[in-house]
Amino acid sequence: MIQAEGLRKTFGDITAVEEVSLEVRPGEIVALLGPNGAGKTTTVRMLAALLRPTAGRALVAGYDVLRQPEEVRRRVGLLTELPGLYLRMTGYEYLAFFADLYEVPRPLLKQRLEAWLDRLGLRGALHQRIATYSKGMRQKLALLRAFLPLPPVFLLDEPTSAMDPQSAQVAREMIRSLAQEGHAVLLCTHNLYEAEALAHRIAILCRGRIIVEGTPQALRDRFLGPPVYELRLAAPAGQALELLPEGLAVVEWGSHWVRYRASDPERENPRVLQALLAHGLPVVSLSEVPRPLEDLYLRILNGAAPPASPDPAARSEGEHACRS
Amino acid sequence: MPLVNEGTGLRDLGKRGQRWLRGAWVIFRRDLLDILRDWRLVSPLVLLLLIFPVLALLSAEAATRYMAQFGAQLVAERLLPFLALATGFLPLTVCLIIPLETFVGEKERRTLEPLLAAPVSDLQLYVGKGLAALIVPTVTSLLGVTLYLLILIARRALPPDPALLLSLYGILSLHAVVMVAGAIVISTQSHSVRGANLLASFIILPLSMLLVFESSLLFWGSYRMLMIILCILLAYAVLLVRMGVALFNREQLLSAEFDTLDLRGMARGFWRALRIGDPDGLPRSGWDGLWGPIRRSGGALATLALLGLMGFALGWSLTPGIGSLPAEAILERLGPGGQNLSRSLAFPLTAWGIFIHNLRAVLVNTLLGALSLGLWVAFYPVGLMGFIGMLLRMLFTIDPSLGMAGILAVLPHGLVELPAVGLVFAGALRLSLTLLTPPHPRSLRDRLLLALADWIKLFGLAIPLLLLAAWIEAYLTPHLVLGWLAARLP
Repeated sequence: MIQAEGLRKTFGDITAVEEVSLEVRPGEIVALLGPNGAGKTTTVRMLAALLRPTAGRALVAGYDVLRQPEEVRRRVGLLTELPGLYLRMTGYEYLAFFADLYEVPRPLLKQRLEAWLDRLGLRGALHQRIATYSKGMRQKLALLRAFLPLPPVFLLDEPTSAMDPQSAQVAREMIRSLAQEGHAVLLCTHNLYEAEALAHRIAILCRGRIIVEGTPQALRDRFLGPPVYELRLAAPAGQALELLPEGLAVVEWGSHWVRYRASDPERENPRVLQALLAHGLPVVSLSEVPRPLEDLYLRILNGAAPPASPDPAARSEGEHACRS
Repeated sequence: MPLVNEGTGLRDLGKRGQRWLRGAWVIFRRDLLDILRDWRLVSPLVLLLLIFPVLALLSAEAATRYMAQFGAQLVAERLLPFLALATGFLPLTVCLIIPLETFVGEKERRTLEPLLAAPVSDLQLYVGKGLAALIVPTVTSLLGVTLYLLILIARRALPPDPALLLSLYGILSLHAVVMVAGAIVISTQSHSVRGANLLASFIILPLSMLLVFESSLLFWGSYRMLMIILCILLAYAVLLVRMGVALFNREQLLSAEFDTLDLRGMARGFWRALRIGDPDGLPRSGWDGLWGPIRRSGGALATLALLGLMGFALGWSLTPGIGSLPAEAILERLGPGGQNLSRSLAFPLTAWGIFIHNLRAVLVNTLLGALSLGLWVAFYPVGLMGFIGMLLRMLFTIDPSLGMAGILAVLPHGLVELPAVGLVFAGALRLSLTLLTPPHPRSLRDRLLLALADWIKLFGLAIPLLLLAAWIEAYLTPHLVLGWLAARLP
């Protein structure tokens, strides 16, 4: 659905996007992360055929952004960073205006609104002037505007910003269900929780280049190492340390807990439990230590290499990360 | 089955046209509603529409009574159309406010990006938004004038005069188009309403001055002159619309920062343009040379050559009856000034004098060309070659050998001078037309810098040619002409 190769954009002497190659398949949600000024908005604008790439090529829904920009725009639902609404219009007028621009017939517009209005809690306010809307309601309306034509590709910049947690949850569900229906979604966000909750793959953009890309799990494994498990005991941890299977990589321990790294948890965790239970040690719980995306993101941006990576390419990947 | 294909093609074309119009209509309708809902715009317009015609009438009555005391009834009558123009012009000033508000205001409020992301072309956006900005103040202005004139006609104070009505409605409508088109151009060059308002004085000042001139013409009843001005205004309206269409594009609206004057960047770009022929390119060894500017100005050069030929043909074919007069009669008609023509020239007829005169002429014409968006430079060859065509035709009509003398007087130095002047004017035309063409793939600034650098190179190339032409004109041409004439004199 989105295939970008070597996209580059310069404004005079300033290079906003150095080189971006990216693919988003149908039914996939890809989160584009990166610090401010990394080039996310410019990348999205190029993919939405709003800016012409200086170099490189991008196909969106099968159309070339340079040669067929209008066809691309017809097939992209863009949610901009700021809602950008016409405050003197009512919510319905605004949506009808964009429906007309995207040639969505009125019956279809009404049908789609019927399906979404209640979920987003906008029904009551639909015929009120947008000027009276709260920030969150404006964001929801902007999201509806992007969803209305149901194009094959969605480019969503901070889709749930300013929304209350409940509305944000609904919006995420909607995005997820759109992806399940086969729409391709490129999500630009600073909300790492959201990226983790939604994205099948993550791409981190820094100084105009995608420095890493992969599924959240693969990136965690690559940059944070194998998962860490925490064993909680109703007995002193010292006893457990002596009983743990040989070769288990213990990371840290406390009075009643032990953390170890397991590269093959399906094999190693039963062995650990077996060893402890065989000696009658009371195990309270065994669970994976959460490794939030934030840790991974910051680690990558701070230029960390994948731990103990023997691969020089992987090390240099980490080293050229976002340090200025 | 070509007929069927043709039919299908036409149907497709019709459908596409319909789709295009629908897109522009949707934008127009929204903007119009938005304007009509904004009380800050509507209330002054309504007040102007209701109050100003009445105020103008009261002023007209007072002026008529006052003038009648001195028996100057005619002056009072001529004041009536003048006041009609004033009645119509005030609502038109809103023509500047609305586009600045709808274009730059939208940019500032960040409502433009979702609109730009919609499947509509730049031209649809321009047409839809431009017409919406144009229609409200123009209708108010024309309604105000109509109201004022209807009352005057009903009171038999002013007889219905089609020339007056055409002039009034023409002036007001064209002023509105020029203002809206100019405001859209300004909008594309500003990122804030504040910046746009500062730039708007570039439109309002010349237009106000023009209005003063037009109103004086209306006062004197010089409708013919007024029509000529209206034609020029029409040409400028077309040029400004073209410029707006060229500059109003997504890339320009979303990417550029215009509010700061980057003199260093401009100097760097200019130097690169001068050196390598690309303001945005990486410095490399080797100069761009002269072939690059000539090649890039080829289109303008061809246009000027074509216009020059057209001018010559027009001058040749439309030579007035003076051509059939004997030479003595022509000199007689010219009077003593004509007989002392060489003495009354503003420059000495030496090689240096001719050269300095030509140099000054190309510089002044380039400047006028840039200020007139290329119109002056484009029509200069028509006038110049038309004059040469007319002169030669006259000489040939009087006596073919006199005609040959005329050719000898023009051709030797003309063969060097005309290409030189053509090159400089082609550069000047390109410089002016840069504003009217879309700035892809380079930015407008870079294209202007390149055009300026090219003009300088072409001007540099023209200097030795003009020197040579002046030398030929001063030292060779007189010998050739006199030799030719002496051989044929009895």
